[in-house]
Amino acid sequence: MARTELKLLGAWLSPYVMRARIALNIKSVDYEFLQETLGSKSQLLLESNPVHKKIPVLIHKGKPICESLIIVEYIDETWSSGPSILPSDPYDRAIAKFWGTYVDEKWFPNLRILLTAEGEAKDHVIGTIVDGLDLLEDAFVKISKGKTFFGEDQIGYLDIAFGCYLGWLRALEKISEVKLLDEAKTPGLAKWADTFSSHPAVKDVKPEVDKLVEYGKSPEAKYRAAKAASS
Amino acid sequence: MAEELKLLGAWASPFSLRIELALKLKGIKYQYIEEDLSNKSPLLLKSNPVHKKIPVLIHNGKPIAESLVILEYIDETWKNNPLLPENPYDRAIARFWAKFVDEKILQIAVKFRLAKEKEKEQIIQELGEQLQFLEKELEGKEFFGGESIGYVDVVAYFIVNWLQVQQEVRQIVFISEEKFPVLCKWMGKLHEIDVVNGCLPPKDKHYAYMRAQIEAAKSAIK
Repeated sequence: MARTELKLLGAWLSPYVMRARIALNIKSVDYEFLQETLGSKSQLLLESNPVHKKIPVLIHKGKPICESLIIVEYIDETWSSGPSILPSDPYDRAIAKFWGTYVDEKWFPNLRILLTAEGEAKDHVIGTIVDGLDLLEDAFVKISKGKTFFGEDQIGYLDIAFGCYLGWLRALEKISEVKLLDEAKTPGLAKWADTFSSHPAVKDVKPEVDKLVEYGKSPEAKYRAAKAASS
Repeated sequence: MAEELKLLGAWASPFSLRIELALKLKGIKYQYIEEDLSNKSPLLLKSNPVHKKIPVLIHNGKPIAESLVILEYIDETWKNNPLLPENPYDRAIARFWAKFVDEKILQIAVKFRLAKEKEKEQIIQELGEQLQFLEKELEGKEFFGGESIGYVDVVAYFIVNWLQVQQEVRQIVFISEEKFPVLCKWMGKLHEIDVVNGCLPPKDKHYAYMRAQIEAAKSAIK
């Protein structure tokens, strides 16, 4: 495939962009990565995603696809001869998608809140994040069926959906000076996190935690987090 | 193999109703169990311990939660009268709009319910802006699914119906025929199809329920 046939609009710190990149890596597909400048949106982005004006956007033969998990599924369905990202059984697919929705809608927003929380509110949101990790630990034990990933022997949809948040999880542990992912409490997830992060499809597209920490401490990051939390 | 299919739902919930429509469009037999959301059943709590919400589909004892996830499960398990298109790009577009309806349209409408008077004008405008995207997407098509009812139609119908009922009960215009001729025509068409309108809650009961909800929200804001 000519590189120009496939473009990904993204930004280095976005967990959502990382999802698309991991999926493309799994399928060994070549693409042009167009980095958006933080704080401004390119003409191409505004044209390709007029509804949300957000990255990632995958542009395949001129046609845009938006929303990270929808992009991941599109990649899986389009390059169907490569390793599968979604499980083949409909029930397993439903479980993977259920937890993908959970991490996006219920769990991750708390990390954003943590960035600007103080005092009692901070303690409360830490509790919520940790409770969520307990749920995800149970889910991991059930879904992995004793194997390495949520996708069992190979990394799959839910590994990608949840794993993309690990960088920010680690960054927030440093910024807020709190341990969130605790090997003692969630041993399965702790081990999975290391294996996931060092996976060939992941290690070159994950942002450096120190850079996320630096960005996370900036007033701009706090402003954006607060804005996202209130929308 | 005798299939065992149960749907835990609530009669006024657009999320629950969309599942019923999908099952009916495919001619799938199921047992409907009405949940009293103020007194959730042990079955619901066991089947959806994470969210404790309806709808939940239980297929041969295995529960599936989250309405969009349930719809895709149904489409993959019973392949007749497909809801999603075959082509990956068209599927991505359908998924995009379904997510849009739930995230943008419904969330803004819910914001309205809890808003102070002075905020309401602004919210109606916001809703109108988002509805315009949906209006544009539907232009030139019979249904969102093209020539036949598809995934986005099933998802959006009960949400837009909810807006239309709210309009009548509150006597406020959210979705006028003047500004949204395509969406209103599409709703009109769907209202005429028996299997679709048969899923709607009984009108009087629905209106009374909406009125009660509005009163309750008013007291909460005070």
